[in-house]
Amino acid sequence: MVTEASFRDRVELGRQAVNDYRAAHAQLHAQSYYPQIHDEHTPLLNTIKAELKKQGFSSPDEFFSASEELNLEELGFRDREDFEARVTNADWEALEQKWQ
Amino acid sequence: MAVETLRPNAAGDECNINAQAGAGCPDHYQNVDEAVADDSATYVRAYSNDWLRDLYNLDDHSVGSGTVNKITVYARCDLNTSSPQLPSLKICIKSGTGNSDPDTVSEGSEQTLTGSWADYSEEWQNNPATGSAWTWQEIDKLQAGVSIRSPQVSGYMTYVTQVYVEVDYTDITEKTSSDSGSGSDVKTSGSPLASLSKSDSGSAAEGAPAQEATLTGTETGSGIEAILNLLGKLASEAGSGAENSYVAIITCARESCDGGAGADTSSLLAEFEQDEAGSAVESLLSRLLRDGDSGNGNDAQVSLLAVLSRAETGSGTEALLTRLVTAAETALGIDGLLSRKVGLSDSGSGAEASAIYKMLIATDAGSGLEALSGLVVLIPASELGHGLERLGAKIMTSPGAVDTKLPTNIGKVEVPRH
Repeated sequence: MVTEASFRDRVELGRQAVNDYRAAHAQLHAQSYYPQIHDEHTPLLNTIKAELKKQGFSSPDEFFSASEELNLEELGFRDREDFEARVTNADWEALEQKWQ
Repeated sequence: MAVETLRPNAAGDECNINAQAGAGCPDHYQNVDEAVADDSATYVRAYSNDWLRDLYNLDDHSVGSGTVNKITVYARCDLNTSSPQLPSLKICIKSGTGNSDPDTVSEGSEQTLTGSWADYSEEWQNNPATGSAWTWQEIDKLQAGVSIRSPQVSGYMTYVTQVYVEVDYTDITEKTSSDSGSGSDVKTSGSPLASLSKSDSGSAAEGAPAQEATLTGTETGSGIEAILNLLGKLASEAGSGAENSYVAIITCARESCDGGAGADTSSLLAEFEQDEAGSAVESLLSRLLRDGDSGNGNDAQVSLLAVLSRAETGSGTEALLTRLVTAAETALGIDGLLSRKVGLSDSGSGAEASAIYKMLIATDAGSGLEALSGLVVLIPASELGHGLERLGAKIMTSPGAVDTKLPTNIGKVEVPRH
């Protein structure tokens, strides 16, 4: 059984993996352009997939859904359905400040 | 048909989308340039009710050639709602004319997205800036992008994680020695030759000057190739050897080196007529070629002149006489005599014989015995032997000798008296 704390930890570790990917991605583009650069994103993407799998997420999509769920919980919503039913502009602005 | 994929490689002319994961403006292109989509890891997104547009520069084409059939722009998108109320995507391009910077923005249809990552696309068969088929220059100048907005009136978002362009083109295959096709089959390399192959109304390589150049450079075969090769030599001829090229070409044309017929030879001769600007032998040859000769006459003459022009080491008449002496004489009169006598093998003291004939020519103004008399008068002056003395005696003792009116003091013979 997955506890609340372990879910948060898994999402946070997953977020860290995504942050690492984005940093490596930026580093890749810090170089001058070369034709193979589009393909050189792929090893980085494979790394993030492996890290997310370690945290129990079978795909990046599954991880991002979990991350959004955590954001909504932190804003006081039960789930996505609850959010869409009660969302206000202030909620949108608060959500915008969360990790995306 | 083949496809080349072009991906964003630099900022384009517009960066208006107001949020992203990854690089900010003007480098939004970095968030949508992956070969394998990274979905929510890097993207651009919009939650505005107004349309917001990004444009990205693209890679130049590197493998495509031939005719561009169409371009298709793809965008991989998602929403943060499964219940969109509005279309929220328009795929865009910015194009221009030729090598000029793009100046015409064209947006595709408004598309309503689903609530999960999916690919959306828009096709352009023609360049909107020109209304005509795409050229590769215009492809290289093309920018592509998206215009997105919120799919609902509230703050829901549209995400774009990947943009790329597929160029659909018809390649032109290299011509090989076994290629017997025409039109677009014929090409050696590069885009410019595609237009040559388009205008080729014949088959294989006849039509294209570039192909002829190739043939003259490398061809060692026969037929039309050989003539082209000869023309190549003629074109580069600058010295006196031009005569030789002329003769070679004429000989080749007359002796059917030309594997074609009729028109080929006519065209070759027409070339000679047009190009002729020389004098002497060249001029004569050219003039003779203009004759509508289809028999042996002028051919033989041309051939003889060609021999003369090659072998002559003297000048003018001497050389011609030399040739005539060796020729088989069929004429009449003094010409024939001269020719025949000179040509005989002199078994006596040749110089004397020649001198006699020359004397005959020089002094003979009468006929019959007068001429003989004149000759006999001359004989004693040069005679060193004794044969003629006997001849003289016989003449003097002849009953008709009186008619000769020979002088009485010649020799020791007395004139008989009656």
